[in-house]
Amino acid sequence: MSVSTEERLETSYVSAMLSMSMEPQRAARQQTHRWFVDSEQVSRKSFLDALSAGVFQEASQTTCYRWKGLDTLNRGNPFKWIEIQCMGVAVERLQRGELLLPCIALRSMLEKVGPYKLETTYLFRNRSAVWRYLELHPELVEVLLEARQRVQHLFGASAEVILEVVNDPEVMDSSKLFAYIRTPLPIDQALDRLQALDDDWFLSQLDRVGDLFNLNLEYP
Amino acid sequence: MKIAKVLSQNITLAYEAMDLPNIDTRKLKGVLGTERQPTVMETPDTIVVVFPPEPTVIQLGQKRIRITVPESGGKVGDVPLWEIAVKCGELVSGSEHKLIAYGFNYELMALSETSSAHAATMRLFLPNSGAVEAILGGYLSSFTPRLKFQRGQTQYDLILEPLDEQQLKVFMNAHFEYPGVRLPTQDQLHEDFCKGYDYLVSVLPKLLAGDE
Repeated sequence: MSVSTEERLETSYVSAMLSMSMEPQRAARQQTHRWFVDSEQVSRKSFLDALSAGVFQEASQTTCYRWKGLDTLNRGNPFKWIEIQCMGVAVERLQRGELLLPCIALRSMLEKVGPYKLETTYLFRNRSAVWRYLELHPELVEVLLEARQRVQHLFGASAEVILEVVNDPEVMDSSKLFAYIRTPLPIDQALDRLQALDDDWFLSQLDRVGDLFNLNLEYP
Repeated sequence: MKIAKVLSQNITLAYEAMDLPNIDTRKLKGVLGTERQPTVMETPDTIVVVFPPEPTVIQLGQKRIRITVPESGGKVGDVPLWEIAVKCGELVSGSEHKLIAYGFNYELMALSETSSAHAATMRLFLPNSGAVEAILGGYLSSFTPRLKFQRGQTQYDLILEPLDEQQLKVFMNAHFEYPGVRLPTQDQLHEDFCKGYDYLVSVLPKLLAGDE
């Protein structure tokens, strides 16, 4: 690997790390990154504390708490913890002008894990509701990963897919997860491809998904 | 109140200090036998091992070993966390790694069958919500009780977090810390881990009985 390729890889890695799919928190994350890079004096621990407190609001404990305590309480998604560690090492290595290959390997490992991969391939509308739904129906994770590939194959790489839990207020326990395909294709072409998606794949998945999941088109 | 799912299960070992560079990651990779090929990643202060397919995750760092099955849907006992914990404990045994505590973590999704989970926790644990609302000058929509208590030598941390509608996320940590603490044998750890879960499952309906 040439130096320039490594440099590009590092740059794209950090960019990817800083722009991962939690849109509402992106600004805070970028701000934290700038703050760290601007100040050579800031310790890694301070950075991790700020990162975990500012970025992963959903985690029940901040890294700060974890570092100070000697408790055995362990709550939340371990992959978020791993990701925080990974980012800390990445930034430290960048400061020292070192390569990020170990971090890239760690990220690659994370990407093999289904729930994490969903974060990087789908957009979310009311993210916490979607994750709560998936906690109750984890069997959908595999279907969703497969669905995303099918959508990309039929609608092209430019198609975005948004996950949303939709409730029918008139029926109890009627929540259903929808994947809304947002495509620049004309509506008639998009409908044809949605039909193809149903015929070629989705209808044969009904045993797996039941009434829990469906796909549809969405136009702004 | 019924238990809908086990969301995650974990055993955590806490040490006075941890010398990560001296931990043999080849042995760590083999804690579940040779058939399951894990992914291992090492950084200066973290070792992460992920075993497919559940996945089972071992994290070493921050003076702790955490063994977690983070995916929901499984049953407690499906993955032998106790066996992994004992093997990991053996890997780091030595004077430089002094165990100071170990603990079990369980996260469950429970369903309130008669009312919303928000209303249930408020009615049971915040009976005078009107006074609180008066002080706050606002309408209280949710209340998350956290109960810390001790039974024998075990410290417990129980969090009841109401989610949407009938769903209640329940988290419990059972923490074992006392002078001269030692990790029990594999069989004993297995028994204790299952007992901890049984205790949570048995106490939860009684705790929330006032709402049913």
